[in-house]
Amino acid sequence: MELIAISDIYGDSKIVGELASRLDNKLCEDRIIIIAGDVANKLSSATYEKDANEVFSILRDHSAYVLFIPGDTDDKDLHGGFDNVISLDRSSFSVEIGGVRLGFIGFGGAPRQSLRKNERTSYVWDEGIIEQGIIVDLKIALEKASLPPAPDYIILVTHSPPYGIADYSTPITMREMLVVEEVSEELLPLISAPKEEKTSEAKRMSRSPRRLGSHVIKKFADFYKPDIHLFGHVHKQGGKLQTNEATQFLNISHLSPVPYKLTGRKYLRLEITRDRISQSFDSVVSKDLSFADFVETYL
Amino acid sequence: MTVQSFRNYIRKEYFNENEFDMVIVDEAADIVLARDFIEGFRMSTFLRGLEKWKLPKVFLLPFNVKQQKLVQMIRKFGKDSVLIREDLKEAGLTELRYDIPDPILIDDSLVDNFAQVLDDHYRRTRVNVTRLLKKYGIEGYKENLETLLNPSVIERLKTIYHVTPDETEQIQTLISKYILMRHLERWFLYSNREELTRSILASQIDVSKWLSCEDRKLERLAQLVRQQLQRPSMKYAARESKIFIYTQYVATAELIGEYLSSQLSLKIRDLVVVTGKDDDEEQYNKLESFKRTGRILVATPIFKAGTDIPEADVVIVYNPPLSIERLQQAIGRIRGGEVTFLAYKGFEQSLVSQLVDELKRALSRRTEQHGIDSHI
Repeated sequence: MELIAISDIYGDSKIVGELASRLDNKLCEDRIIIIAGDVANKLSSATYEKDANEVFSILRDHSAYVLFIPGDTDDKDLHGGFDNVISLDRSSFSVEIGGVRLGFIGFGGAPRQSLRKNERTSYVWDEGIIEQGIIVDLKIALEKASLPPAPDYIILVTHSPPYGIADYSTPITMREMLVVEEVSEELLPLISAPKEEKTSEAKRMSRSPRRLGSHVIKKFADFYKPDIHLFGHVHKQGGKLQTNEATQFLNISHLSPVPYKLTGRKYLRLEITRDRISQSFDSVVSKDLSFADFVETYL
Repeated sequence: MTVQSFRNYIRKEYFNENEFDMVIVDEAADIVLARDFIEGFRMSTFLRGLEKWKLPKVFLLPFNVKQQKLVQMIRKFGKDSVLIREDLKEAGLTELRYDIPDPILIDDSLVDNFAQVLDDHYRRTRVNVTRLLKKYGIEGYKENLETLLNPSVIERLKTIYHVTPDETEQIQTLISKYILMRHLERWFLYSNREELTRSILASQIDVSKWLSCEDRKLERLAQLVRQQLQRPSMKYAARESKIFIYTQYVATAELIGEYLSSQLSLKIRDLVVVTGKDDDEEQYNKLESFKRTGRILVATPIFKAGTDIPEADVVIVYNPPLSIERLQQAIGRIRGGEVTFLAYKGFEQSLVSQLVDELKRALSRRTEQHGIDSHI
């Protein structure tokens, strides 16, 4: 079976359409599409419900199921609106496709510390306060997903990365100009002397890059060891695969060309059989353009 | 104490002029090498408060500080200040000697094409930005375009120059594009394969082909390092040579470290990688370990002023740094030895050749003025 995983779409149905047109129609029945959050942007779009609905309606026609979790820019209670579009937020879903049984569990939203100060989002949580709630919800979801017939693989889908894995970045912003500005700032230390030492408080409050992932999600993944952990949110680390003894961690952000053109248009394809999982990242672009035309078109 | 500490202590009144007889400022070049207005601003904040002290001040400076800068310093710190030109000859360092062979060229037409295309885009975008600035009568910003990404500057453009929001957005979009082009050009030249692999460019047919092949620059580096490791030290009797590989990006330093470990039969202690990811203590410990037992040091420009690495016989410059001053600082750390540059044929070759010529000229001037033996 084929699993296509995407994240951070921000309601861009054009790019979703481009992705869909690249998928092999013959495989629709054997395909599941996962969205790891930020389907659309609730606070910046007056047509949020419509945007999300459009994304779902395109993808559902190209797969057996679309499984999603809401991200920090989504409504916490976002509904699929179609029978084969299912929310995984704090819940589970099990299915057998192509002879492989898969159990999915999910948790949406993002930890507050991962976002830039004054960034407007709608689904954030303070993990210090709801730590036990997250663990309990995920544990119940895992138990449901593990009911007989036992799944061949358990797949955890969260919007936030686990702490320490593909999560190193400056706090997240959707303002494109700020992201590009950072590129320039990276170069500044090379042409000027090192900055004055900051106090630990100033460092904490600054926009310096740091680990943005969730400690609670890391704790859960370390203890319950899902086979695959898919997440998005931290754009600059998108496309990273990290494996520990039992779990493959994959940062799949971001499908939307914003906020950073250079890392956008990304998706993950997983081919899953009972014996093995193979994965490859790809981009929604015309690959055969000359380098000059490619730069002109996409950057 | 550092200049920053001095400024803070003065501000907090921890001490005053009466408690000292004299002030000696070492590495004062950092204060005077102001190349643009940002540096100029930093310079004006350095040692703030010292200009009011009347006691004798001694500034230790390198030879290449220009007369104009000295005048600026005298004006700032008082005409009674004493400015001493550091005399290496008197300090007994007459054996300081640099060999700078021609750059080692790497033939890779794909990288050359990527760099050319990106540079072309960069230049065209910059011309367009300049044209827009001229149109709105704000050409003064053209030397430091990045400041136009600052929200307070944008606000000023709107209120003082009456540039409309659409026009400022247009300018910002172009600036962001040229920053991106410059950034990407460096990714290719600096072998930043990890980030390139995760970027949209990895899907382009030629980039994909390039990423699937072994990096030729790294291959050539490994070959060069292997040769150097077999040579005895040029500076110290009965000792094997030690190599300092200079690069600009952390990602490149890490890649070089991993690549050399995989290609050469090295003991763990042979290779030391020092980058900005290490804190001050780690940097110090790693550098000491290189000096004692290491053979290869891979480092980004993070060492503080005054850090010397005379144990190194060779500096290999993996990619051209952004300024000749930075390069001179890095080379100066080994206190004499061989300086070898690596460059892709074509676009990077011309950049590096210019840099090498400039460096040779700077060292020649120094030799003529002070009789230091610099074989170039």
